[in-house]
Amino acid sequence: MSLSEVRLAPVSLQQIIAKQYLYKLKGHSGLVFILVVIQMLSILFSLGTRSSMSSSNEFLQVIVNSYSGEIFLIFSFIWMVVVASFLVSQPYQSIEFSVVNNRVTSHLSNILLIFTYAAFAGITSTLMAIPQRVLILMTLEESEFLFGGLQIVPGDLLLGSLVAFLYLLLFGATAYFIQTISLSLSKKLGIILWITLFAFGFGFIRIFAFQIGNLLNFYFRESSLGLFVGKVIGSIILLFGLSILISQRTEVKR
Amino acid sequence: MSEIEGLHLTKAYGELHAIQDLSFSIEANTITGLIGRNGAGKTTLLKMIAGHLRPTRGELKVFDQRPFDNLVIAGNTIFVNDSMTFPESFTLQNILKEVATFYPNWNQSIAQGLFDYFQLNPHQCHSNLSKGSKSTFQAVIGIASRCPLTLMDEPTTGMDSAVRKDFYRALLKDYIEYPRTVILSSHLLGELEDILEDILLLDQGTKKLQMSTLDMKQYALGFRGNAQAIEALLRGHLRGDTPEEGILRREEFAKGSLYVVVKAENLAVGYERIRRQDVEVMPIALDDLCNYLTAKTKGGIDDVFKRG
Repeated sequence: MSLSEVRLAPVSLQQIIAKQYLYKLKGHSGLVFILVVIQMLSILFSLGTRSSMSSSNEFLQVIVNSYSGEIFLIFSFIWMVVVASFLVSQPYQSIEFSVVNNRVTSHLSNILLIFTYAAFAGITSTLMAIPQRVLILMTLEESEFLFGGLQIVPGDLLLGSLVAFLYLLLFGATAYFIQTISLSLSKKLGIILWITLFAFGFGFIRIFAFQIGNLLNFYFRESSLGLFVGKVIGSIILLFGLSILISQRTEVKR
Repeated sequence: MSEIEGLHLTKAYGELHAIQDLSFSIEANTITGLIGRNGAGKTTLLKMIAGHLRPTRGELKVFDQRPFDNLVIAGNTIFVNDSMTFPESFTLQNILKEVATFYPNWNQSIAQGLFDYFQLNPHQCHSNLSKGSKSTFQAVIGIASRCPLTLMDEPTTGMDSAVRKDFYRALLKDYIEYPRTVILSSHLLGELEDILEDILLLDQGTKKLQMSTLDMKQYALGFRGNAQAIEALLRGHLRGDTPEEGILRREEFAKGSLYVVVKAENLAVGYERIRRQDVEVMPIALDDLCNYLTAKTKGGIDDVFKRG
């Protein structure tokens, strides 16, 4: 019987992952609170996103105002990117490595957290359509009416939440990957990757007539839900998997 | 059986060698003091044992396993130092409750007892604590977790002397009740020597010496008296190829008077015989001994002021 069998308490990987997950979920509850505040604020912003279309003849004028819910998503995406980068930042790593942890349990519990946050943000930012509609209804003037009333098809909400969830995962995994590189390999490389991501992702850069910024169209332009789900899942597995591999030999700075 | 073993252990940060070719072993269920000056490599060594840092060269085994990034070692180790942090949203009371889930041997009654005794405020946030209270709170966690391997890096930083004494006593009492391997690093050897069984003295990343506290107390003797009498004594009673190798410290404390510290093993006669030759013999405090052993010159700070 070896020394370790006599003296050491058995340590189970799953248990530590679960403990780390719960510890961080409770400890970082402030992050979720921030999201709720942001979404409250974004309702106000959303009323400002009104776009109008009107047509008239000498007897009748029709004005169609349309409101968009994109702002909820955009705010949630930004929140997700910030949160995912926080999780791999020095102060947050210090917190989790102050109790029982290693690289694998750290990553796996963080990934669980990102899934949880993405599900929460995905559902809430989709459900925000409801208070938005109530607010629009309340601010209607005479001779205006809300198309469809307060009725929202549950299937739409479900699909909306799912797609939002997947996008949030994708953004979260990307931020997590870049921050892991920043932490494990080099800060400079991390910054370069952030810039590259914005350039390629959102298409700010043009080289002659060639627009290089269409990386995100790989996902945005996908019309089949099945393929979209497949692409996103494939990407996050790749991003999280690489994050785990890269940081295997990273030392703990606490 | 030794629980921690280092063999030609080296840790380099670029050009700088924080630990260099260090071989040592630490027995199970002992309290070892890791002593050394600033920059001697104490924290680096503790971080390697805790599995936070990867040795550059050499072999380090903790419970027969390599500690780096090792979950089994992490699950049986608590590493208390001043960069321990906890989530902002937790109060001290929350932290005690949440941290407890990670340690199977956690003793809640001791944790709560010490927490109340040291009058920590359960509703306070960890980041708002004063330096001393932070150390106290972390020491409570370190003791109550009852990990088979308990590492504490400068645990008493900022504590006042009453709290320090209580902490040493609490650690000792809990250690007797629930034996485990404890390594403490500290500058305050004078206060610690009563609870330490072994001392590992580091100097510039290497091992200066490792021995039991009892042996160390007999390691050297101090002689004070008239310079000529002392010189005569050194010439007459010191073994070794050159008398100088047995001398750890030579200090002129007044005109014509000398104070020397000599390794006991280099003395050819018992100190009783020397005492008669109007030379004062005195024991050396461990604290001072460690300072002499790791000093660059035998005259200490006085050498800086010696001119011409």
